[in-house]
Amino acid sequence: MRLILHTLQKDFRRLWPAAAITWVMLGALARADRWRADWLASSMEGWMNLLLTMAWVMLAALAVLEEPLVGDGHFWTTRPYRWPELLMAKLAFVVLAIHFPSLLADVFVLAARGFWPADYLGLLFWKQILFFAAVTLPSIALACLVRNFTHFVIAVFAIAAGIAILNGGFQSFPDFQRQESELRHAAIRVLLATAALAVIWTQYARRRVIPARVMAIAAMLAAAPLSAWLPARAEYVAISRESGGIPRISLRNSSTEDTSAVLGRLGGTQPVALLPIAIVPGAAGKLFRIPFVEVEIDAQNGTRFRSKIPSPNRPFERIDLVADTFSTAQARSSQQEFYSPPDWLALRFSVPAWERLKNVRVRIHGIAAFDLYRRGAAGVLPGQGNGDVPDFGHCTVMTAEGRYFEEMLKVYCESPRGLPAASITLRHEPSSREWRIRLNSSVTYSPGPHATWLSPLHRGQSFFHLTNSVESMAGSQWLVPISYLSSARIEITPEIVTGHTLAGFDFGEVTLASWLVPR
Amino acid sequence: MIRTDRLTKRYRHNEALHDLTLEVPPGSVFALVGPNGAGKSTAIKIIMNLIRPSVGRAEVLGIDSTRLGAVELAQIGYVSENQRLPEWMRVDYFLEYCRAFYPSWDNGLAEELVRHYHLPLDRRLSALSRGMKVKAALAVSLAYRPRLIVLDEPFSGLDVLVREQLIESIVDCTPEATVLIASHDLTEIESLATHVAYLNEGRLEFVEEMEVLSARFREIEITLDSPSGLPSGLPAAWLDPELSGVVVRFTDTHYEPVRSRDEVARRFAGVREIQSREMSFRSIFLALAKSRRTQCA
Repeated sequence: MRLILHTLQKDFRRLWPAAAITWVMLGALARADRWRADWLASSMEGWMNLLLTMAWVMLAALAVLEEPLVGDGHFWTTRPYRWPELLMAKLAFVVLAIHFPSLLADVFVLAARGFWPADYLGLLFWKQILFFAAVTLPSIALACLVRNFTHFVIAVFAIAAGIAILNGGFQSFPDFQRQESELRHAAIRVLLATAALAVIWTQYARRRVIPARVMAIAAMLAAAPLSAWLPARAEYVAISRESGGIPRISLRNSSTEDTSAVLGRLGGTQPVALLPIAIVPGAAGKLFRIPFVEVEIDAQNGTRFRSKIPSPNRPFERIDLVADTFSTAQARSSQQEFYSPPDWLALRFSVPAWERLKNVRVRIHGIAAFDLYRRGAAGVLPGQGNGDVPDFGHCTVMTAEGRYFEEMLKVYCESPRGLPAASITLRHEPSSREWRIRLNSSVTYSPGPHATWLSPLHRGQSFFHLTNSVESMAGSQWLVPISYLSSARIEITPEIVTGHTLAGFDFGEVTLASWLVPR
Repeated sequence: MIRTDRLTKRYRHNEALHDLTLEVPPGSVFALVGPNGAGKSTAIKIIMNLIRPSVGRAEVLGIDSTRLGAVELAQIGYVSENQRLPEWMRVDYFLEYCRAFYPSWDNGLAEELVRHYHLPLDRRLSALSRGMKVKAALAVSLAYRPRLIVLDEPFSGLDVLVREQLIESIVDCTPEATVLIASHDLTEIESLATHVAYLNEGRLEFVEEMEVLSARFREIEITLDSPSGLPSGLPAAWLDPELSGVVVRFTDTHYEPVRSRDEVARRFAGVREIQSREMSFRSIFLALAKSRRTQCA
């Protein structure tokens, strides 16, 4: 213990200027986070999330490289250090210089945003553990494998470039409705953290550089394909429960319906086949969302295509077929009907794929993933003001100005816990009118990095467009008269996930050309 | 104190050390000498567990070198020319920091060493000259009175005065300690070593006590009555025989007064005079190196 403190004291004496820089950055970030009332961070905050993480990575490495583990010329290697004490001193430094200040910043942000931090201490500690497993621990492991800090920086930038490529870089229009695969993230975290622990032990206890480097490279080589190619269905296989019965998906007979509404949402110029489908929900629940569909098309001529889910994790992937489901009611209605089940399966082909399939009989089969949910208790807020929504979080309704200076009513929610999907209804009882949107239904332009993984808060928002006129004209039925706001109510209804399941389907043989949507 | 058994270290394309077997007796000052690239530092690094042997093993203070732990390292003082010191530390903090690791740290000795070496306590190690850095490293390696001192080319590049001062201090401060010193500077070895091992191209050429070595090496000069050629089939123990007019010179590596004279008389006709001169260690080393080069050529 005495030598742990002795080494720790030495490390702080040496590294306090670097640690102080990270504390200043953390303070600036916490201040920005404390004042932010928007889902999207400013580019400054986005950059700070990125740069502070990098600064912490460097700081952890500097602490380790005070007693480098690679090379035979280091003073400390011939001194009577005990490796557990040395390692503990390094971990203590990381906890005191990185994780403890980060925890304090989280407490500050929560308190400043009106949450009582003591109620969320478990979550805050868990966040630090995840950050430790995903960032600090791998940084320590990497620092154990390099000869000096310059080598470490080069390795970090190479790895960061790899991560950026696998994540599609910065997206100007972040796709925040894209399902993030928890399983993939968890699998990568577990893999990297386990490899990091093995590397750290190998280096501190045995100082075996080559086996440790082999382990680290193997873990990274395994993590990259896991990040890019872990099938979406793997997560649903892991989490699906069949106790409530599996939904059934079949082809509907109708082929004469108007598809223009659905087409409007499809966009693009690719050949699209729209197949009418009917879904009978299982006994587990009538409300569901279909996060993805995987379709396989087998042609009589032996040609086979599997649909792919476009992902920024696979930037170089060639995609011949994309499958998705749509609801006519949702697409057609200006007052979006959230709960109507999909009745179309859209198959988007690349031109070469379509040329090979259009005139042959094909068998279409596949699987669809289902998120089953129930509607939670609705929280009611005034036309302008704030309040708590049960099972959801703290929400604020305020007027805001859009990108083109148009007036909008912003509904902004935040919670230290994750925000479930939710529907937001603006109800004006005197006129018996109502407007409905979903949480996070708007896309916001972001010129820089926008991820705010260091924030202790989960945020979500949506906008109602406002108008000065009270008359409802064709094409303007989605505009809310400003004069209604004083007597309007906002209802926020969380959609609480109750289960997940996978359902297979097989439509038998069809000719795709008969479902082709004319452009 | 130290024992190596068939110690071999191979790198990808070369063998830095081959089958080194030697024993460093307790209380000795054991010099590991040889030209650059002979494998001295490799041997020391294996002994200090800084690198692992490809074959063979080394034993230090009674345990396998690959298992050297804090208990053993607390009894070993190690200074190397390639050692990277924590240069950001001031000398006083460097001493204070190291002190905590050694239960046997002697404050009085540390102060004495600081005085003796004229170490500036208020300066960072990075601001010190190379000689001063070596002194600082020696101070923190001697102040706990180690049982074993391992020095890897510690004085290379230092001037003679500093070298003498450091050698004196090692002998004076830790008279009981066993010292293993690797060096290619033969003058520093001569005044210090009790035993010597000569390494060349990774192989051990010989290992023996300095006294024995000094006794068996002689520079022999024979003056003949009249000029003649060098006879063939001279003993292998006579290194680099040279003839210059009526004078024959060589280094006898197995000198014994009576036997050597008889041998000379048997090999050369008309010997007018035989002179044998004691050799400095430097001369012995040079003769060996020169002989090796001649053989290779």
